[in-house]
Amino acid sequence: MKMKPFVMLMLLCFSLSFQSCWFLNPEDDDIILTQVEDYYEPVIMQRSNFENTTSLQSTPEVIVNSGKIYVKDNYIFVNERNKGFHIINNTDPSNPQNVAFLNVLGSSDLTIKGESIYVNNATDLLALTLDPQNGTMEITKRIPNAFPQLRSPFGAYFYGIQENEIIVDWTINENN
Amino acid sequence: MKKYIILLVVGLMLSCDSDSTSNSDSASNDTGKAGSLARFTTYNDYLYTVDNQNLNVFSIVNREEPVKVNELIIGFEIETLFNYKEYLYIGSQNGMYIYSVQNPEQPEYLSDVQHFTACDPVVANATHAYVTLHADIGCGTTINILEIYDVTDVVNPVLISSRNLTKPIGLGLYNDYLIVCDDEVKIFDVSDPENSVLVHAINRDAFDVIINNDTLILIGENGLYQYSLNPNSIQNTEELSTINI
Repeated sequence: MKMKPFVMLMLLCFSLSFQSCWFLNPEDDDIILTQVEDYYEPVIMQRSNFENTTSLQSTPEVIVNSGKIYVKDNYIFVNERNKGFHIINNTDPSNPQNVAFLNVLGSSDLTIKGESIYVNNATDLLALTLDPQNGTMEITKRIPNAFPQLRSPFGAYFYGIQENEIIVDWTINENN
Repeated sequence: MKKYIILLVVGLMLSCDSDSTSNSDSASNDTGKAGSLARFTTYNDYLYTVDNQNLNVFSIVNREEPVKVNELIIGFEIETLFNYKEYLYIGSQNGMYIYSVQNPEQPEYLSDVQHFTACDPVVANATHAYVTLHADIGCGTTINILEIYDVTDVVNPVLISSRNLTKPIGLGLYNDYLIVCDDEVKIFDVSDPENSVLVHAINRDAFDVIINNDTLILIGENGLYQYSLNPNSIQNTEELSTINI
């Protein structure tokens, strides 16, 4: 008997946690999947277009959705989630300067060995070299499909993907 | 016959030579520093990455042209990767795994510790591994813990300390201090790891940290913050700059 209020509370919490899907697809049994599919949708690109999207722009972008950071010598790299990396000149830590933006779709991580920078570009691993001061960047190697397709922020896989399609981001479904 | 022996000897000398360079350059400044939430790391001539389930190994002997040489299934919901010497510490939502990369193309499982489902970055030094657990398990119940393991024997990590925090995530080591992104950025004296003591706090909301020499770099949803650290006076942190986000 003692357990009953606790169980009731658990059930209430559980049902409340899915309130966003109460009125979406009442006929659907799989409420978790329904919620994910309705709330976020994948941004899909054809590989042929996707492979041309990595570039270094010498105009900085405002940081909006900050991700992981990496520091090498006088530079700090700040990930813009799934978009690329802000390049901060940190020669003077009292006065860091946001100087450039490296566009890498579907990126979260970056590491450097010597002059080579390794980043995840959605499903691909990229090796590149860059010179932020001269605004030059060269992709020295792409390893396609080194990583699985990007999952949604809820951790769900998208199963409708075709062979030459790449998920580069997930966005909130505006119709929701 | 003599020619072959000479070739062999020269070959051996060359291979020794390349070994010693790769060791010495790992000590030099040709890699940068990542935060504790990183999924990429390098060790000598290899790049290691984790995705949801796998540890991927890339040879970067030729820096500009990485080659994938191995892929190992580690577990589920792998989140972070940390390298200390020839060890990889892998944080997952279910636990921490320790692998050896003494044989760099064939990482070898050494041990793991399992815990509740939680986000789980790891940092480590020669003797201890530090793990934060942060999870909302529903109904307002959360797990928010800093765990410290003795990893002197890496095949047998021993939990020596567990303390409650508010919502810990990224963390980093600075000499005898552990800096943890919690509701504030908290600095613990871990010179006696079984009895960590809070010695200072910085009122910033951050999710990851990099300690670069004596500069503390914090990233949060609202800013990139830098502070100077003084190893002789840890309470004496001086704000250097903020880039608002």
